[in-house]
Amino acid sequence: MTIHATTARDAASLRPISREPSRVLLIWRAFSRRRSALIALAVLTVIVFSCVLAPWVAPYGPSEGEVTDRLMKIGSAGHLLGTDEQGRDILSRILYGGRLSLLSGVLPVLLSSLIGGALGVIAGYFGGWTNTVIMRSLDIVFSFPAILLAIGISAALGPGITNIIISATVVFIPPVARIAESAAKEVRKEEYIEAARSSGAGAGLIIRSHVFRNIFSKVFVFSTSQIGVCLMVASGLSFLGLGVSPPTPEWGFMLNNLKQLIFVNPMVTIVPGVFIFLTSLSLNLVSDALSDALEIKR
Amino acid sequence: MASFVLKRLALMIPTLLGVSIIVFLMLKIVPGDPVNSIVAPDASEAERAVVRTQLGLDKPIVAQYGIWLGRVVQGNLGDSVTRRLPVTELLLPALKNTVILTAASAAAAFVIALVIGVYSAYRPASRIAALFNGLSLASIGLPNFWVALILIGIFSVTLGWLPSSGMSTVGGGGGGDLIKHLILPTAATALSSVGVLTRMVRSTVAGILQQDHIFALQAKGVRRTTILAHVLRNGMPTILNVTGLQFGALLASSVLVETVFSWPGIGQVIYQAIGQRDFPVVQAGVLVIAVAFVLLNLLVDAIHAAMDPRVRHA
Amino acid sequence: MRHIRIANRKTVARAWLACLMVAAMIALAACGNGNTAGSDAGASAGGASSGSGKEQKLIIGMSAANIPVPDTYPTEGFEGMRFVGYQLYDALVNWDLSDPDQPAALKPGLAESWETSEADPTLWTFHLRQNATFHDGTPFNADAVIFGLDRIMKTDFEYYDAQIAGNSGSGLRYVDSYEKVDDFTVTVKTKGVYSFLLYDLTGILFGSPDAIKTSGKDYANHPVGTGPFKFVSMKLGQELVMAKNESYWGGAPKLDQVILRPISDSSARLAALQAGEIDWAEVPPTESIPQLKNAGFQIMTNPYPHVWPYVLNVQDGPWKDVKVRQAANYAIDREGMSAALLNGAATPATQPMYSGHEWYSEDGEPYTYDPEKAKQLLAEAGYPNGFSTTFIVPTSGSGNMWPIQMNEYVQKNLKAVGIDVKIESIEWQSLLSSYVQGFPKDKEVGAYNISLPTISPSFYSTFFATSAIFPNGINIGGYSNAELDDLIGKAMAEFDVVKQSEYLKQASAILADDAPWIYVVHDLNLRALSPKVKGFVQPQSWFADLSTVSIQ
Repeated sequence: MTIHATTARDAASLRPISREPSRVLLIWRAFSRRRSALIALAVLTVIVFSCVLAPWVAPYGPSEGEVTDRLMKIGSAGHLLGTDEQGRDILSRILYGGRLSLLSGVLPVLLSSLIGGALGVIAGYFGGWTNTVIMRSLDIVFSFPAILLAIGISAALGPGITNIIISATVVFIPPVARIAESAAKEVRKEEYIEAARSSGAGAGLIIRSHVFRNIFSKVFVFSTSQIGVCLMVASGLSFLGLGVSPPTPEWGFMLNNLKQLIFVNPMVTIVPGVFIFLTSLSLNLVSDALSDALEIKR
Repeated sequence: MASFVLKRLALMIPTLLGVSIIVFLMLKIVPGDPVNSIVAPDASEAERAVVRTQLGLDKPIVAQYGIWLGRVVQGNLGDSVTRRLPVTELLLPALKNTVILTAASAAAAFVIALVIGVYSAYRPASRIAALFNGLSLASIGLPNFWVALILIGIFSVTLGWLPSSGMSTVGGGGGGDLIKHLILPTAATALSSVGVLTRMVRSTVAGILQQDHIFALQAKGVRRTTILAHVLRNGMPTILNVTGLQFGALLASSVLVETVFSWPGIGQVIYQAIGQRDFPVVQAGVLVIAVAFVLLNLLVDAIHAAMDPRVRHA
Repeated sequence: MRHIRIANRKTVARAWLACLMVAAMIALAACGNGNTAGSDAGASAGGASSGSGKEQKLIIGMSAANIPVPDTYPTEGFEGMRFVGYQLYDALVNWDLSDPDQPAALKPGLAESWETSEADPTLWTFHLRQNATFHDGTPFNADAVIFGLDRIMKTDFEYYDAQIAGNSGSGLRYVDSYEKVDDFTVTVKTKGVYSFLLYDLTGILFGSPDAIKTSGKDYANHPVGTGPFKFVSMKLGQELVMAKNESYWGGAPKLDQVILRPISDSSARLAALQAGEIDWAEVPPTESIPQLKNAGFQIMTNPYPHVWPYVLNVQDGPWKDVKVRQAANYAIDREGMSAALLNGAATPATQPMYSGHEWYSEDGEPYTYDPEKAKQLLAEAGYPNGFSTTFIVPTSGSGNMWPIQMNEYVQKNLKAVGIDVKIESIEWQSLLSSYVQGFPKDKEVGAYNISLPTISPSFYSTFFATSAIFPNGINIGGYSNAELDDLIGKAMAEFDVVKQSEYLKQASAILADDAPWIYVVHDLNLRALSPKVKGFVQPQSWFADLSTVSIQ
């Protein structure tokens, strides 16, 4: 592990630090060396921005359309990605739908990082019974296969995007907690804490500045890699009909709706899946490059 | 070795108990009365009460859990509320079907990942390795339910080569028929694992290739196949370990693929049962998969330990 | 890596060759199997069999998610009754499904004839068929009838079955007592004069008492009835196989085998039909109708007593006002839904019955697509700016066709006149469960969307009578109209079919005017049959007679 080799430098960096610009710059340099990651970042940026700005970017409203215009093919005049079974513009629905899909990919990861990270740090730092209770309980949750647990919770809570977010959050807590716990344990053992302590720094400061940063980077790397996974889990639940209710657009649910048309207008059916795939792939590429960049930086 | 397994088995018991509690409670918080899915819409309250008593749904929750667990330990998972059959009769054939699909997927993923992963590790700079690297990364981002739809679109609808649903032709049967039905669901299920496994095989093999003793072997002029065998033997514990974990993940995630392909597996049974509030089936189904998952992890660890003494003594 | 390059290229090449060969073999095996898939399906479905030309085997793709439990009241809703119930069993009174030009009528089943007593119209005498035997060889007789009724009505009976009772008990709700007179005569006494009894009895099927006693709890795995087909085998989630009952009292069916396959996804059913894996697909996606027609498939539709409505909560909130209910009925573009969205697989509904049915009334409020009138009615009712409400709708289920898309369509229509609908979609079985518990108390729900067959006159009393208001029955909206109650009462007591229909017709008019429901469309029972399936008559009924079907 790289951590063991960094004691001296970390101890050195205890001095008032003007680290941020150079640190970020270093990471960016390492990151931008990968062309695929840059392309992915660009794709991701375009998708995210056009979804967030859907009301200004989308050619139509998400529920606009006449049933007489239904099932237009991809590339039809005025409907770049065709229309769905109600005659609504698919591109517009993809853009509006992306907001919820992206949210259900990001929010559970964010929440589980916070909750799981906190649980892991507490367990790792205090050890003993606290550790046993927290980690064994999480092990139980972890002993469920993720999708099954998510389906179970979602089904128990009833359909809805909020419930999908809740169940995905629960699913992602244990792995985050494990990473945070082992990082916290390792950090606790590190000599530099002793060094810091003997140099007169208070315990609170130690946790905040060093332990936190060390653990944070690990959790951060792991969590970014989970956003793509989470997006797929959430859209999968939505595909099963456990998500939004009509007419709200959302990628997984659109796929579920359009799959009826696979024999009539297969290209249109495939569109929402393309967006789930592109987003998830871009997220993976970006997080891959990011974790390597962070590794190199350290 | 035996003590390692025993220790792990003992550690498993509280986990399994916890699992059973979670499963039990998860379904108790579900709103809705299971009796309603049995009786006619216009059945009277008295008729409902009879059914409720018959099913033991009138007892306090702790008692219901105790009774349920007691029977589960004896291998009696109760009766399906809607199917009117012992749950085991419902779940075991379905579990078998899911295991067939999952095993085929895991095996396919393993073979493909091994071939591509080893190649990429040996030739990291080649164009083919770069292509495979890109593909495997891409496959991780592919939603399996979407792939399933595309496969049906291409191979069933357009080309008419492969069946789109079920696991046997009516009245048919036999190995060939099964394989025919297996191909598309297996492809859809295996795809995401191929990506994960390929990347893992590549990095494992690449790591071993960098080790000093390999250099030494090469310097001695040992045949390349021998070296490859050596590399594989060294890497296999890790590779098998991850494959085993992927098997568990596939087992659970097959529910989506099963739904698209109408594969009569446990995922579909559970999904339907959730909708129909068939408590015993959901409980037993989730429990069976969770237990299988836990046991599988144990098995994988045991194999890993058997192959790699360092793990045993760690 | 650079060290590797020194080593012998040939050995590596050989290793890779081996790997490639394995891969190629797998691929070949896959393709080989792939190529035979089509021809196999063709051969198995269309292959010749002994003497009589084509193998008489019919494979049906059901819309249910699983094989119905083949007890005397099959599960999976009425689809279970359609494909399992009436194939394995008979009722005392059966449906006559032979005439596609009029709504299915009743015909003698296990009872050859029946009459009511002149002196006491509550006393019915049923004369049983003497040539009917169960598939296990045991004779059908009065004891079998009494056994079957006891199984449902007599709670202290050894073979009383609470689940069967719960399901089919409503069919015997008006039965007070029953008695064996001799081996082939049974009497039934109703609670009050009740002319709908024969319709109710179509839902009570009879299994072999011997088999039920022997198999006990396991009976559903070995069902034994008197029907045109007998049970052969069942693989849960996959198939149920039935074989011809050579000695069927009504004459042996033409088919040797009927095989049911549950395929809940309509596009999967379509794929299976096109691939030749099934010969008969229930409710394929409506989009595929033109395509299927071009490919020579037979597209079957026919109106039948069925309605796809919203059951409104008329006790609380805005739907209490009849003007609001009428407004909603005027807001819906039924033609657009039937023709454009459903490609003609449904017809507009403005009251429970369809035009052409004897209970349909010309005098009811004629709900056209008139958003302006809807807005005006809303304004008169005091909702010039509309209101918000929640509808609980199913995600699939027998007779619901394409519920999510249809609900989105209705949602949009209602939004246009100011009624903002939140759609809460739940699984069909869950919806049925929640429906019978009435409207939720913890949240405001304006309506349930539910698919209902309206085959029996008792439909009027079950869903609209004041006496059936929840929790006494499943008039969950709480609709009450004294005039309607009076008409229903008269119809119940009237044995003259013409007069009875007249009362029910008047009831239909009231139901149109009062609009306790939003009537949307009538299902047409869309199904697609392979060109080789011959002799099927699409009746004006939810049910289907397979005995006339053959394969050519």
